[in-house]
Amino acid sequence: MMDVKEALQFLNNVLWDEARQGYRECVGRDYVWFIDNFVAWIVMRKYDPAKAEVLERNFKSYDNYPYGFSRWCILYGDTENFTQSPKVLPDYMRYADLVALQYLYHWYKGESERAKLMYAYLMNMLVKPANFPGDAVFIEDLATRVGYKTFTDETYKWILAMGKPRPEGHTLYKLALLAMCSMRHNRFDVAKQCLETIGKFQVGNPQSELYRNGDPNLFPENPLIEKGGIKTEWWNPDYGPKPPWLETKANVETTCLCILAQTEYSEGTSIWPSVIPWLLIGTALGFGAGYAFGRKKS
Amino acid sequence: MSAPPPSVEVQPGVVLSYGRLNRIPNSSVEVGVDFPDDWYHSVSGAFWADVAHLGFKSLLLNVSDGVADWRCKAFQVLAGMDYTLQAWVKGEALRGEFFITVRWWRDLAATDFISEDNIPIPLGSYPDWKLFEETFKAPAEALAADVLFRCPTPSTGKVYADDFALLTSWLPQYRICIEQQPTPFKLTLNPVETYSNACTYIYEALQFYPLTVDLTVRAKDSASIEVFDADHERFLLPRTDFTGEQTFRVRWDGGGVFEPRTVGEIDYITLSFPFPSEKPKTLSPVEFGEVETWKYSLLAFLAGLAGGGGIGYGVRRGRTR
Repeated sequence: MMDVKEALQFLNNVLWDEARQGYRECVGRDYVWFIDNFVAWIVMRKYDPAKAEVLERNFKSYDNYPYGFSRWCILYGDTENFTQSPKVLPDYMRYADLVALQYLYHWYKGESERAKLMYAYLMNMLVKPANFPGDAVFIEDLATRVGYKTFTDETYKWILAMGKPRPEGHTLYKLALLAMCSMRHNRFDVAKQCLETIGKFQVGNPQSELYRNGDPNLFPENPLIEKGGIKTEWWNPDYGPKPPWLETKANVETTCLCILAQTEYSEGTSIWPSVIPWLLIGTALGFGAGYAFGRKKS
Repeated sequence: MSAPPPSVEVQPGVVLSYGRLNRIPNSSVEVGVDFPDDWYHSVSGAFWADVAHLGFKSLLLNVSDGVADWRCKAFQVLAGMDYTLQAWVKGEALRGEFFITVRWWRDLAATDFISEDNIPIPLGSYPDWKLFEETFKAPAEALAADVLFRCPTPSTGKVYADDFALLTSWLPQYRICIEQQPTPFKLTLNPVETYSNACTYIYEALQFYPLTVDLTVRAKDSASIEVFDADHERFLLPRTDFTGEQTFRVRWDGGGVFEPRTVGEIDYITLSFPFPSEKPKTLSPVEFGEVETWKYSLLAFLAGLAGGGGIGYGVRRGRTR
């Protein structure tokens, strides 16, 4: 699984822009997007409240404010400001992120039947590619291949020329969203699979066959510059050559969503909250019984 | 730019949305080898640049007290219809005149000129891409148009232009999720885009299971039709000439964009699905799972009981000693 501490260091040591008091999108891009910093704010509220305050104070100065607010606000249960997915796109059920956010909305509203259906949509999108090195699960929705089976360089030229939707491959942030929904659905087994895959996309993670030594293709001079960050997607080579527009860098949004999922998993799978009360009850009863027994013997 | 009318799900699995057709061939100027396909250029001052608003390429006018132009291949338009001309511009226009122009023609060969409309690019510096756009009405006799990026009088500057568009008003398009379709189902298609001399009739129709599609098309006179499959590696229906109305039965084996393309004047084209989908997808809700922690709780309880008992016993014994 991913190392949250390393991920936080990637955010704070590599992507933090002191001048703009926000996180840059990724290495090599100087955009400080509101949407990225909004998700980072949700993370930092737990890990670095002082930084969260800084981010919140600067929200309006970030690029594209407030785009993204009405969607990601559901991550912390804000059902009032959330724009429901059917209003975003009528056939939202084909896009894992829209479905996952809609799941969270129903879950927070206590609409369990609707949440169940959303989860079914998500589970229908879960795939286990045979050609991935090692075990992994991914989300395959409409955006993964935008309706195509395979690609050639010609296809990409055609897509660009015609302004067609571009395939995005198997994105990791959607897997993080599925992990969050899975934990709310008490499917920690699914969440675990998702987070294990995410760990394989953390740069510098010893568990990652792909990126344990960094990314020498993208950053030959400093392969570990993204150490701790989560790569954005996996492109299945069976589809054909990787699209020229996919950089596969570690960015703020993906890394933050993965931190949120991993944190929730680590806290959710901790047995102590349910065990400690029973330990105390047992101790109290045992103490009483032992005390009484000791008096009788004396 | 005006917002599209809202999308609606007209029946389960069929979403009616609105799109604007861009009539300019190779409008993003990305396709080509030495020069962009379907674009012509003056002898000097016009370049295909490796700078882009989107993609990789744009058109460049690099002139020093000179004239130059880029001109796209003429394409069909509808007389009297409103069209929005757009282009993204970057660079420095220092002296003279730079225009994005649409010219209207009485014939498809673009030999019988009617009039032109211009969007002037004011002299100045454009370090970032800037959108220029204006809406024009096609003259009553217009049958074709072409678009130019030009400096018609001696000018100086280095100006890039990219992502050209001559957009129609919002037109209805259907997006079909066929796996959810009850059959039989019939849909009349509107042309959604032109590419070279082909007209594509459906923007996006997606299904994931083998299916049989009946494609009925009627030509005003004679025309040809082909159906390109989703992965752009083969044709579901090879190019076929026909006259009048004809129905083609096409096997569609799943996954992607189903694109009938026609050449020639078409009255209508419909898709129908005469048989049920062969493997309908079911989406029964997934129940909530259960997390079992009772084993750990029982263990903790027993450990507490034993530990507490021992301590209690010891305390009592100590006090009574």
